[in-house]
Amino acid sequence: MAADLENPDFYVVAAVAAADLSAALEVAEDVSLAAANANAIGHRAGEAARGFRPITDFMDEVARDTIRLVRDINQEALAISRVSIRKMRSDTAWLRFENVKKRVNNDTTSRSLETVLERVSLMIREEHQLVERHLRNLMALLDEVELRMRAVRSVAASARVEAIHTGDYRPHFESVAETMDNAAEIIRERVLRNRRMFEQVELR
Amino acid sequence: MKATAIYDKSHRWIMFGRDPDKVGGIIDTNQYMIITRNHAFILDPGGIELFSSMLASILHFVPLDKITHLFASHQDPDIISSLGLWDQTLPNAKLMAPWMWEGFIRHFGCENIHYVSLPDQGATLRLDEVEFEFVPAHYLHSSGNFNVYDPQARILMSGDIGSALEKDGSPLFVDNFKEHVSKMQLFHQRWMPSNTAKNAWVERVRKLDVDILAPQHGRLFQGDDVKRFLDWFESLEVGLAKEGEYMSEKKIELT
Ligand SMILES: [Fe+2]
Ligand SMILES: [Fe+2]
Repeated sequence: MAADLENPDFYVVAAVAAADLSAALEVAEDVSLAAANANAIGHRAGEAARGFRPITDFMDEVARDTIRLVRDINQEALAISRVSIRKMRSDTAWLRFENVKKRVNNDTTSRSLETVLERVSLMIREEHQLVERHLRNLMALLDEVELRMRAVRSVAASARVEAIHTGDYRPHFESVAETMDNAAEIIRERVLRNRRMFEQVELR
Repeated sequence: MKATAIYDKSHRWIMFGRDPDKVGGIIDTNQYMIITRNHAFILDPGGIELFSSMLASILHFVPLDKITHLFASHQDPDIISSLGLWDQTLPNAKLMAPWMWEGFIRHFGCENIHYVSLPDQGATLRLDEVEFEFVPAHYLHSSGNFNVYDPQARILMSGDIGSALEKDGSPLFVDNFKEHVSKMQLFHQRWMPSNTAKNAWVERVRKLDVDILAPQHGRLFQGDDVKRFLDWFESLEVGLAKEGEYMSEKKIELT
């Protein structure tokens, strides 16, 4: 989607970012599924998989958290897009009023336009602040996801070690560790990309 | 905004609608997007209040640079008042719309998008392997008005024809035609002005092979319900308004 960034309109970037995140959501849903599978295998494996149980519990929890976080990020991105569009409309209105004001040379009319312009300016300021607030929320949520993904990768590493002790079930558990690791990498990459999208554009 | 694929083979038709974020007081609308190999084509992109939801939903399916064409069946605000924002978002796109509304639709803002006038008798448009037809539907309800027909998917996007006024969150397809009639009767009688135009349209559409009739409001018709709709519409007397509504002596006082 490089073409969208060449002409960096903020509302477009935010909408692109929101759509881009839905892929991360699918991955998190896959992890949740993998955790459920691992749990089922763990029950069958019994004692051999004892060391694995906390790992599948962790996976399940982190997958659920990630789904919630990504959904929240998505909402923030959509809000950014929505408010930016509103602000763009206010900007246009302001320019038009300003144009009219330039053309009138009657004091009373000019003053009444001044009131309108002030009201629109206030609205623009509020919309700008609102976008910034959503942007801060979004960045904080992205941080949270990143932190979790780092934790997932280290747990995946210990899961690989733990898998060695699961006897016949070793390939199953190794593939669980693999799924976890891959998913974390994909999500982390999406999150980084999202952050970069927003960092590359300035709110006008 | 809910998005549903209503055709998914060599190319795709996506329907957008039933928007839970819709602001109060505006009529619910169905928007459509056709995706071919290299193009995306948005039909009746909707009102300005819907723009941000539409943009976000569309991006789930295609990147922006793939959207090359827009279509406006007629000049109504629920069809195309978002044009000014699309104009900034897709400066290289083309808008296919009735010739007679060009000077009017441009009031919504059309500085970059190229307005392609549809002549009264209709026209065709080829996008990759699909040839779409702009089928005349004048006076139904707008005096300059078109439907879009896709002979491969056998879908007729019928604009306001077949529209029904329904509660939020109603199902996508008509499941009981008889019951559905009550939701569309008044709309067709009051909004559609001409029996002659209506009958000519029914005759025109009967010659097409239509599996799905996809209106801009309310549910879609599929299979036998398309035929049921054509029969019902043909026998319906349009251009009516209940006399009492505007013939009464007593004027209503407004504040
Ligand atoms: Fe209309
Ligand atoms: Fe309409």
